[in-house]
Amino acid sequence: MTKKQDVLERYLLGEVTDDERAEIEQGYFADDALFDQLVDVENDLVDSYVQDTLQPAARKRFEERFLTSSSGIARVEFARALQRKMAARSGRNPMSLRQLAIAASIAIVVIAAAWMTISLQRRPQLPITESRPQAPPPQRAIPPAPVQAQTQTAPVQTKRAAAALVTVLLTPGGTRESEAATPLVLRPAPQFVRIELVLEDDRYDSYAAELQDVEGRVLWKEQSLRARTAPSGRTVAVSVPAKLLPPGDYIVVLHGIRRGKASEINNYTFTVVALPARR
Amino acid sequence: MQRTAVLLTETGFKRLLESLDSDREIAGQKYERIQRKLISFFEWRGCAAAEELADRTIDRVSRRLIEGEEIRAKDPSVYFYAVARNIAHEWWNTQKQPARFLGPLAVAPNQLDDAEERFHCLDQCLEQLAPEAKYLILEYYEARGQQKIDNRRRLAVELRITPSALRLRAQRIREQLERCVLERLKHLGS
Repeated sequence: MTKKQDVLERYLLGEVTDDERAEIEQGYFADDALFDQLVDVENDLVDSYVQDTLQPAARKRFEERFLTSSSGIARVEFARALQRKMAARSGRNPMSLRQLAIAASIAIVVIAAAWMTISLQRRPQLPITESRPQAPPPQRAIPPAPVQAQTQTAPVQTKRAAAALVTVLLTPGGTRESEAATPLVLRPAPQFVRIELVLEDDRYDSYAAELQDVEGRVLWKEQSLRARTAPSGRTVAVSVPAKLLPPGDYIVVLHGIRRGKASEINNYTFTVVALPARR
Repeated sequence: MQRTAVLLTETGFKRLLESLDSDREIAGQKYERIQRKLISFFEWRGCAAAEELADRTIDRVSRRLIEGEEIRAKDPSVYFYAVARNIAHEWWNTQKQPARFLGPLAVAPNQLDDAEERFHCLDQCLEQLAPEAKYLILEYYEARGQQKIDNRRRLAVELRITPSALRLRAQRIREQLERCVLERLKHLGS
């Protein structure tokens, strides 16, 4: 990126001084070429947001600036569709290089307990350890069926604060109402929790996932998800910001989409618990 | 902010165009360009009602012209900028709370298939483009980082146009596609 492009990007993110801003604005009102360049930088910025290649601070600024209006959201959604089109055209996965790097470095740890599998990303400078499962009761009641899938997780503890990603594998299927979901322990919190949802069958064009609390409030959602083959079978993976997961019970509702129509196909529940701080 | 009807009278519009250029066609092109810049200005300033504020700016300028004021600036768009800046200040003063981050939380379940519909609409809109335009847009926005820069350089050479001409074409096609997708989505929703 040239210095000029950098300044224009900072202008769009609201990171310039008042004087710089006035200079840029006067400039593009008087100069069509500068305005075109600014629009180009804006388009690239939107694409970078969709590709998840912005730095965290820039990403936050982008959301504050662009996702506060319906036109901004529409532009982001358009960019998402365009990226998907180009990914389909070139046969590549629309996942960002950063995401690919993270995904590639995930170490999967299979716990011996039946149905329990969890993997944990390891970064050389950020050692992460695992502990034996602990299963405290859920702090809130899980609503009755059909939201009665079982989480197949083992608790995990991290030694340091900066673990980027924890992966957890969830399978659908009912459990008795008295059975508690196995807890997922996130301490200290990673930035993202990658949830792999095991499919019973894969017969949809794409998938959408919603994270809900036990009161049914939608906390987060992700669309245009594709199934992939994993050791556990066909799965759909979502990465949820860990800050959305304070201790409590959660449900991931998976929708299958075929010919543009969505239908709910499975629910997956899990519990996040907090452990007392270590001394 | 209350949405107020912005009515540009025929007299006001005529006076406005005359102030932009003596040639009516060129004046019309300049008008469209200024309107586009105004909308972007308000969006980039974080004003939620960008299009309405752009209309308000044009209305205020045309009223001043009717009242006998003259645009003394060498470039009329600078005058529009000065008025737009005041309107942006006025708008911000009416906002009691800062703009709220709208996504990605709390999306109704019936919006889940929006992404699929949008994707299909984009497909259809792309098919409406001339083959060259379709090729250009998909190539221009392909790849990331340095590869994207290299792609664009190669594309400009391939199409025998300057990088700025290429950028302009890509923007026009992208805007055309965005409009097409929005119109198709509206049609689906109606």
